[in-house]
Amino acid sequence: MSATTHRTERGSPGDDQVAGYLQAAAGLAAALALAALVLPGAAGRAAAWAMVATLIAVPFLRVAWLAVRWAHPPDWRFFAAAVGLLALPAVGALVAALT
Amino acid sequence: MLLEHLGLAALGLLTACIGAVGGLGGAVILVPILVFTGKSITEAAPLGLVSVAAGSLAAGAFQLREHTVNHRLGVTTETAATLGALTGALVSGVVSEALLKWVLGLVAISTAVVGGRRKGVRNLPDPALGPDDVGEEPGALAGAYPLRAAVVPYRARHLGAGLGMMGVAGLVAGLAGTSGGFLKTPAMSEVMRVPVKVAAATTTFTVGITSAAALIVLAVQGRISPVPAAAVALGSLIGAQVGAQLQGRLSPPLVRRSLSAALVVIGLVLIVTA
Repeated sequence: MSATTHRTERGSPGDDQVAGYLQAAAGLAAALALAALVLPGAAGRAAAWAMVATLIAVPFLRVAWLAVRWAHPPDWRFFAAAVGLLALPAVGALVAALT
Repeated sequence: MLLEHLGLAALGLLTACIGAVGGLGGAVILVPILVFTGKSITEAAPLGLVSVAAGSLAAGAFQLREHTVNHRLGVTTETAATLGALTGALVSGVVSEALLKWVLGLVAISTAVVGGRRKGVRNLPDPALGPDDVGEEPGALAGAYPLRAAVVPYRARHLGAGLGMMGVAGLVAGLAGTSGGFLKTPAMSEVMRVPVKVAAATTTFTVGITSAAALIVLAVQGRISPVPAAAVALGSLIGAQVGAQLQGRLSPPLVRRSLSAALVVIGLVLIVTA
């Protein structure tokens, strides 16, 4: 790959902003985990489930952000891959619920 | 109970830290230790996946700011890995404990071999490229990343073989509760010819998705114990950040060799006791 044919997105737009969101999400997950250990009974369990939900949601929100990014300007092959990736866990959850 | 949770948090911290320093992922150490200490693999696997998801989240911001993650490569390869992880998570509840011990033992030994043999930089900097060229190439599995003052271009190759290995990595993740990162990083680096730094950062991003997908299935099946999971996550969130900081100060080959020796022992014991 030579410099003349090299064409990048110049720093991958939005990366710094998303990095900030990820840092905030990590802080939230840590706070919820701590609450789960400190709070008694149902409150502790609720905090623990919220922490698990955060850990599950963040990677898929990041993929959803990528899908939006690849829709404008269009990069359809990777947009389709991102949408497909978002659909897979839903299929898995459905199969798990049915079996 | 409190002591058990504190112990899990400490274990999560220690294994995530060691995993981040060695670049192998913490769950591959955490899950065998949990099995040693009396938990069944079906109990330990969800905790391993929580540890992976937490470690991926903790390292994500740092790696995005470094501009070493290739999202197009990650999303493309992750479709195969997630499919494998979902299959692994779905069948892990009906697979025998002995078989899972075998899988985990082989996973630990494979990790030891791959980690001990990992190579350095293959792609060379292009002096014609500057900081403005850093990023992903639209429409392709290619890009350029910063390496000290230089910029290194790269392009992924052998996509079919890479996707096959990602599927296997996902299957192992869903089955044994490890990240599969020990297979993903070498698959990207050695098979797809992506620079190891980009491969490791992209893998850290993708293992978060693999583990989240498997955790959805385990949550639906009612196999996640929320409070122990919180203890492991808290430790892993801290441990992964500490490990990422330590990585630059310690000698990675030395750490990887020590880890490899420990993993071989763990793997052999698991296989013998299976």
